[in-house]
Amino acid sequence: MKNIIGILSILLLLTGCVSGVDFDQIDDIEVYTDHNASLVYFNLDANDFLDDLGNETLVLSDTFNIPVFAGPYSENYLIQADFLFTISNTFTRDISLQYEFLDENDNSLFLVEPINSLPNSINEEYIRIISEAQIPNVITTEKFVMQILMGNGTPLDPSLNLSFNAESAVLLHYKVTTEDE
Amino acid sequence: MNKIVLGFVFIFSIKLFSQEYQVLYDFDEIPQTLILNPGSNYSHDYFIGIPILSGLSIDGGVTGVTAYDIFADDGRDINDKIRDVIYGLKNSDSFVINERVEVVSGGIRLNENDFLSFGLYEEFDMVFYYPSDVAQLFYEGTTNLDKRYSLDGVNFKADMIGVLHAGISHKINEKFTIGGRLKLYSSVFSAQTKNNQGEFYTTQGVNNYFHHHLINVDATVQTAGIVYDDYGDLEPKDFAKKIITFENPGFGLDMGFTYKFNDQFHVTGSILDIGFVRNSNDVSSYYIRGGYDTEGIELQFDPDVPSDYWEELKEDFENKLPIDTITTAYNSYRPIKLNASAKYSFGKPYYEDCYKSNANDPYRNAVGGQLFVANRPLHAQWAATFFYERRFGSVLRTKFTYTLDNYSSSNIGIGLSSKFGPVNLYFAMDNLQYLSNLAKANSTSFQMGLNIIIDKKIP
Repeated sequence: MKNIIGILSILLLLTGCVSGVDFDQIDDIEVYTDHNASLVYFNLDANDFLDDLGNETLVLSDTFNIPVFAGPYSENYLIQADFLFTISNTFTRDISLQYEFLDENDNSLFLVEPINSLPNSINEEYIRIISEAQIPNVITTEKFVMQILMGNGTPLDPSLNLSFNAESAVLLHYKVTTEDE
Repeated sequence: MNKIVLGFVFIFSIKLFSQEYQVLYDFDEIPQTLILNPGSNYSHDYFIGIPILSGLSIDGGVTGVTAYDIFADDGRDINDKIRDVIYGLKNSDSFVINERVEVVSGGIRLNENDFLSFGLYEEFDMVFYYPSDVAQLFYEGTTNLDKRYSLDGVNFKADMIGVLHAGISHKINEKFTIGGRLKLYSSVFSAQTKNNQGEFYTTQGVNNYFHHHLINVDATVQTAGIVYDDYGDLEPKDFAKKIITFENPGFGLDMGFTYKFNDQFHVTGSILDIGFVRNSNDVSSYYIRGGYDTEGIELQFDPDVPSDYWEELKEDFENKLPIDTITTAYNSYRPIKLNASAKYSFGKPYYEDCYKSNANDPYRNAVGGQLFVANRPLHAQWAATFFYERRFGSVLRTKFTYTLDNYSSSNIGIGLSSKFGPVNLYFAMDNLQYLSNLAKANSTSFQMGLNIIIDKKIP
């Protein structure tokens, strides 16, 4: 009887199995998910391009830190980043917007193709894509530098209420897999 | 996460569950039935559990999904199946794991009517409810404008404790036996969160592309003892030390009874783990209240007043949605369990086949029903069991169960208890219908143990 119990117990354990399943399908897991986030925006008028003496300042620059790519999730799964811009330029001059990625030591990592906004353009949409191949170049980004370069032209007159406005957002595309990163 | 780990997780999730000891309950051949009902009419004179081996139990379960639902070799794309699971599960679906190891146990008959049992066991118990909206948010991202994702589905409770216990089963008369057990808990770790509120959603922005909203957030996470941050340096002895030092102690009480209407019919009942643990050491509780919304950062292009935009945003966020870390002691409560059973014995009495039963029930056969209810953070966990017991000769006693519970309406279990001389070996397992394919099981429990039972009366 002792042997019977032993055998029965072992059989119960050994016969507990799985069938009709294929755990290798784990290799096929690919979850695509997109996350969007507003980034920066600004509303500039003629006064922003004039100094206290009324002299034109044709280059405006600002630096900001947004951890867009921070964290292991982006490091492991980010496959594309779309930077979206909507720009309105009611000035009578061309205005160029430049967007540069810097690391923590202010070294340039990536320079986005400049956006050239034509005079009297309203709600023009632009997209700049960081491709999968370019992601490793920007993943250590700590800061962004945005430069506004106004072209020469008719003298600026604040009383005309002209403006240069921009909205921006990023659309991050992730591909989550079970591969070891 | 590599495939081995993920596969293990899925296997683990179906192999373990539920704290339903439907096979062991009222199986009074086995000393451990006293843990489930201190009022059991235990018939032996002493027992001592083989350390570590006297009571091993591991149970697990999940509602709403099985490993087969995801990994079935059916030609469907696994990503489609994962999507079905993510959108098919509800906030009420739960993942539960319970594990128990008896470190030491013993029992001794004090007199004809009283039996004392005692011991120390370790128990890990976790219930995690599926946070439907949060899972969908991570799965589909934030591109669904205006869709609101609620945080109220975030609920879990996990704890590991050591339990030092002693109980007495007292026979009032030939019909009525009552019992009680005192428990001293020693928490190794505790983590819990429930009653969380808050919503996240994204709308079209006014000044910028999107307006992100996090509103009416009210969430709490309480932890004590060994928490995740310590894991890197932990060794098993650290867990043992936590148990024996009673740094986070607690108190609990079990009560139970057996009432025999006659030799062949009796009913039982028990209520277990009425008590709490006072978590006062290594406490870290996090309270988050408030709300925040943003359209991003407005650049100033002012070289005279450069701004640290991100720091300002973080500061604003932390002011409007503060996270307070509290070290104040808190109570955590054990899931209270209720058991009840009715059992009718029949078949040839022992004197007709010269068999002296090891148990109090001399009949060959028994049938009956059992009920089990445990309170869980969101809803009760329950099980209704029908059983048939049969002994074979003088050494083997068996119990077959059919259980309906939160996880299944067709859970078939078996218990085997043998006694060769003083050696009692028992084994119990359920969801046998899935034994040939555990991938289809929502839950399975497994218990085994080894005891020395001596029927010689105390001098």
